[in-house]
Amino acid sequence: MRWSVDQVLAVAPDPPSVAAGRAQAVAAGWTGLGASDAAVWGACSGSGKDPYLTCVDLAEPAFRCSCPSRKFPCKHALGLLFLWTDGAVPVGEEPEWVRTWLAERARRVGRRATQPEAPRDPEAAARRAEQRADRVAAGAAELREWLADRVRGGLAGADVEELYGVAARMVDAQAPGLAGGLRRAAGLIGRGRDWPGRLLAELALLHVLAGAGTRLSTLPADLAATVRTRLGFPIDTAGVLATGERVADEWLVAAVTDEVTERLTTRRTWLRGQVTGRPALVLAFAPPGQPLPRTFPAGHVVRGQLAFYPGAAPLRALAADMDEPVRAGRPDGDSVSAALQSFADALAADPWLERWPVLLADVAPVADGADWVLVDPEGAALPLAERVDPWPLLAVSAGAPVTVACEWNAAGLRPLTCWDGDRAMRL
Amino acid sequence: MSTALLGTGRRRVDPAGLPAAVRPLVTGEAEEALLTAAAVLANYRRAGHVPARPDNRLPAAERDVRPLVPPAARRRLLRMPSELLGEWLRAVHQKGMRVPPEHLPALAEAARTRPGLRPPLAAVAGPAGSWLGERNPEWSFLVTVTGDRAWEYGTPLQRREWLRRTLATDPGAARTALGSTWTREPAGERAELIAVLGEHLVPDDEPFLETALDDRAGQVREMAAELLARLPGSRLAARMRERAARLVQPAGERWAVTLPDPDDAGLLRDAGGVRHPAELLRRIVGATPLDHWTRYGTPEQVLARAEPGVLRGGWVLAAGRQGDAPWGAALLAAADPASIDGTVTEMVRLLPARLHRPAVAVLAAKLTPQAMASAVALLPAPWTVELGAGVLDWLASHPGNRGLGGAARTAGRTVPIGCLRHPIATAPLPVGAAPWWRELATTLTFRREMHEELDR
Repeated sequence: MRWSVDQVLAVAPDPPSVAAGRAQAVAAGWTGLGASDAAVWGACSGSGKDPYLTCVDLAEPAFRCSCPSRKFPCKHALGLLFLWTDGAVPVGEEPEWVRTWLAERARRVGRRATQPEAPRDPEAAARRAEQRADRVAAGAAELREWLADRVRGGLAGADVEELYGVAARMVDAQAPGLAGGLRRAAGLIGRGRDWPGRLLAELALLHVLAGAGTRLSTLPADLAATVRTRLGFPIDTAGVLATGERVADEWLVAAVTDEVTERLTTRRTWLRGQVTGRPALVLAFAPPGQPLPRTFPAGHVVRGQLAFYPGAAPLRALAADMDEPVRAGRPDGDSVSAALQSFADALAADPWLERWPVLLADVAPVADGADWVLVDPEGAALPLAERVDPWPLLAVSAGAPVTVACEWNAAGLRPLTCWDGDRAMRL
Repeated sequence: MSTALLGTGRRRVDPAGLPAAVRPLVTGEAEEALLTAAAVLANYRRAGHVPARPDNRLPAAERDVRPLVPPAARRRLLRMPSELLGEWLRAVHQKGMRVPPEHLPALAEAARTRPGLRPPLAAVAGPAGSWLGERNPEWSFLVTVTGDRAWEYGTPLQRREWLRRTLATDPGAARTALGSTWTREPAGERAELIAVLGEHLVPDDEPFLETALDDRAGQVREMAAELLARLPGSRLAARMRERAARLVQPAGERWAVTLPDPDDAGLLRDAGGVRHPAELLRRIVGATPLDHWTRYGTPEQVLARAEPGVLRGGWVLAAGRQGDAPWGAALLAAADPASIDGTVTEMVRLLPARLHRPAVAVLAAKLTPQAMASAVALLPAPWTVELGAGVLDWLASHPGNRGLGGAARTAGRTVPIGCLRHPIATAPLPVGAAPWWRELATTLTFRREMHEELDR
């Protein structure tokens, strides 16, 4: 089946690649174009002497091109796909070179799938898990001591290097969650208004987390699961799918946002059960420059089951058994007070919650000095976070009330999706 | 907080300042107590966030009932090359559509640095754009000021826009408005406004322009002289004709020329302030009605006499100002390849559209491909379909010439819509084609799709 343009856009590594790919989507530049159920292929005349042979295996999808580009997929593969979605590629028989490549790939993938798994030794696995728990507990205890020393000496003396040093020791102790918290804390030093206050709050919450980490076995199971997650214990997705809580609903895709760091691109997809009202977070990861796996587009509704990770306030989930997303109209949202209540409830169960999804109905922008707040029909207002560019949202609203999906935390609202009538748009 | 900063070693934790709900949780060693208190307090504050209750509200913009551009056009906007943005905005406005509002801030930023985009953007942005312009002073050009208020209270740009529009729809009212404020306008603004008037020049403007020849500002004097030279019935044209008759005489097979006196105050007033004798002569001939020369034969015969280049420069100027097609054709045909510049290529505009394609062929035959490539950029815009087809045909006849990239880029964005299905865009890439060919084909295809998808 032919892809939609959105599907092509979803496999592109970055926006410049889309533009470059579009530029390649001129039928005049190609010879030997063809498409079968399994693949699309063609030869593209580039700057080199010989044309580049480009082929896309549609199953995975996988890409191959004889050009030297290190982008993946390259602009030729994207151009080929754009041509195909435009209907400019005729159906045809796969030529020899395409068949050869498809066969090679099938062999390689088959080998990987049939490779015998490492023999399982439950005893050894249990021993390793126990060792890890001991090391984390030791790391957590060390962190608590350091924090106590630090507070005795005064936070004014804390410097970035010192925090990074402790973070590195937490990595050695296999507690990446504690290390991440320390690095976040280091990033606060000297930045913005009231940084000592925020630094103290961050370190104090880490102190509580480390405390919980030293007595994991005494905690209730749900809370222990939350603490383990926050400490950075790995969680087996197969286990979540097999035994995690299953919730069936019509899930609104409220917002999709990508966070790009040097080492990783993280995509957060916020879902909201239309019937149960439950929020859910689906995470996807990719190395920089690589395409993210296909996720649901904002503003659509997907019927199906999510499998939730264990925890005291289960939020993160995996798509277990989901239909195709369907375009939907403007959803019902909450008032400011209802949104804050849901956040307070979640925070009571998971004190380390970083951000919370809110879907605000009929909020209008109001200027508060140089800052902006969104005010609901009851007159209650929440501020936009400091680093948010307010203008796209302001342009959609133009003073009128709008429905907005945001992430909320102590720093303010971060609007992600806005509805202009029934049209959803990513901000 | 201050205890945390200074250290528990120096200062005691005082739980009395904590909220009642938090106090009982604060126990243990001083450090332990402080950290626990801070953690509980942090979440106490986060969970207990009290929403603000602002008492002001903003007015909402009028609802924009125009339909949104189709989805394909919305996706295209994200990969629109900046040089095509103006064309796209004008097309969207012409179709009576609006752009997705979430893109208005990025478009306004683009128009902030490129003033040419401002009028078409303000038109498609509509009330939402106006609302944004009132909130963000850097985008004030998006604010629409309606009716006559624009003339009295608008920004200079809006006032010029108003004058331009009103000169087309109600010329009498426009001229009255201009006259009523003229003496109070700053010099720079007078020059801009008189240039706008020049876009709608009529013979009745002559008395006003004649007084402007004595304006305090040099720019205004120069503009007035330029506009009067375009009116063959003006007093200035008559004075120039008299000077030309005195200074330029046939002598055998050539023209005998006397240079004008650079201290002639009357001449300096009419020539817009230059003093160089050769340039003065060019301006005299350039402002002399072309029918002055008919007694010496057809334009071809006049041009056949040997002459100093300065005369030809004057005739080019006159043909352009007076819109004289036979003179334009003769000047193009007789042009010296070494001195083809923008004033010469401007002659193409004087010809009826059906002659544009042959005119391009005449130029191409005179010039080397490299020189022709430079001349393409000087062809008068907007191009007619015939002119565009002529340029594309010329490019298509040099597929392997790698030096034509600049001309191809100019052609790609300048040819009118009627040229977008030229064989360069639709036929397969020729073997050995230079890189510009593919780029040009891409641009033409991009523009064709861009216009077609607005019709769906």
